[in-house]
Amino acid sequence: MGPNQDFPRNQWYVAAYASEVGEQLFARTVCDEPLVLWRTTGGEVVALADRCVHRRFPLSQSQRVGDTIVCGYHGFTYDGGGSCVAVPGQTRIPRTARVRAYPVVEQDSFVWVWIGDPERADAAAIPRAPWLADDAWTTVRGMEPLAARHSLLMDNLMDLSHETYLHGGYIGTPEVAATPIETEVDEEAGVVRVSRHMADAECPPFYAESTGLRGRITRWQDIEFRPPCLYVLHSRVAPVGVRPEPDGSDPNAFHVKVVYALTPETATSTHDFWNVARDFARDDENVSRFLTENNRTVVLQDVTCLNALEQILQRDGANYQELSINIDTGALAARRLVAKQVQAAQPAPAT
Amino acid sequence: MSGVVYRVHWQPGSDTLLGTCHCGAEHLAEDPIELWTWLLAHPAGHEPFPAADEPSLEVGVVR
Repeated sequence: MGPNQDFPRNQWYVAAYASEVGEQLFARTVCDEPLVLWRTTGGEVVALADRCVHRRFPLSQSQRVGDTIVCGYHGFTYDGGGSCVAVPGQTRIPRTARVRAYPVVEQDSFVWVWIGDPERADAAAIPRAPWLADDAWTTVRGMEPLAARHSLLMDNLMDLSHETYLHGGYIGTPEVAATPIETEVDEEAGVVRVSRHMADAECPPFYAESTGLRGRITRWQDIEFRPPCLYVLHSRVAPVGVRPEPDGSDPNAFHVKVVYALTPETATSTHDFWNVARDFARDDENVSRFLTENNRTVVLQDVTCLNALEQILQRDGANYQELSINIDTGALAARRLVAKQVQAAQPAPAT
Repeated sequence: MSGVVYRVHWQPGSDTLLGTCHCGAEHLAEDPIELWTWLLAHPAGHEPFPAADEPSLEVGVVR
């Protein structure tokens, strides 16, 4: 998904956190499409193209009246389905007076939007992140704007060996980069899994401070990425040697779900939604505060790195051959699945 | 889980990757691009024994 490629359009993307969308009109661009979102009086989230059909004034800068938007320029009035229900000075409403409405689903604390062909929008296909809306877990979250293309964030998250070098002193320790990975691609389900299990590792401050563990740890990182948008890192830390029980329970370990939604804004910018859900110290405000600050610092380290890479890619263009090694096995798989999704959305060649 | 699953196992203590196709064929490589090229070529070259002389994929260009 670089500047010369289209987005996988027939896919669900996270447009916002549910908590961001209320009665006020809310603007966000997804896959180069400016959207206006709001919550109706019935509590339902709707998304329309953020352009009045008349002179393209942004509806997000207009007035909300009941469950309609009245354009702030000339008063064209739209309902939540995008139909124009009133125009100024005349009774006839032109047949073409409507703005595009996008399928929307609110699920797992996210507002998901379907950018492609509405006929193909299947809510059952939205990947799940149930921990984010489950009382048994406590979640801290944020969203950072990234001035870099989606593929750069995807590469970053699919290869966690960078934690050792970019995030040392936060989440990185020497063992991350030193430990081999297992990679699995489920072609039909559209999932890439990358696992790195460290049997005896230093405990980085992110986990030492939040769990209270002081010695060396067993640290498991199990990534599940469902391209193009939802990334889950199942993180398990425990004192060295502590394994799950034979019955599958795991009472002596600490579990964190690090959930990212990678949503393209434009060809060269991305919405970087990040969540850290934990099953321990759930009511401890100090732990929540620490994890929020620590993880935001880590995300901003990525943002600085990826923004620099984006500038380099734009400057160097295609006059560059990258090099991939074993640590890139999962990222290469994720790139291929996204390329397949882009291809699948292309119109079939004429016969 | 569907029936089309590819697996890549990085053999500990080595630089070697062992790829397993959904058909059960296996292949050793020290380059993930070479290994993915072999896996995705299924069924070409997926004889029951590891092949030694598969061509490498050109190193890709970031887009």
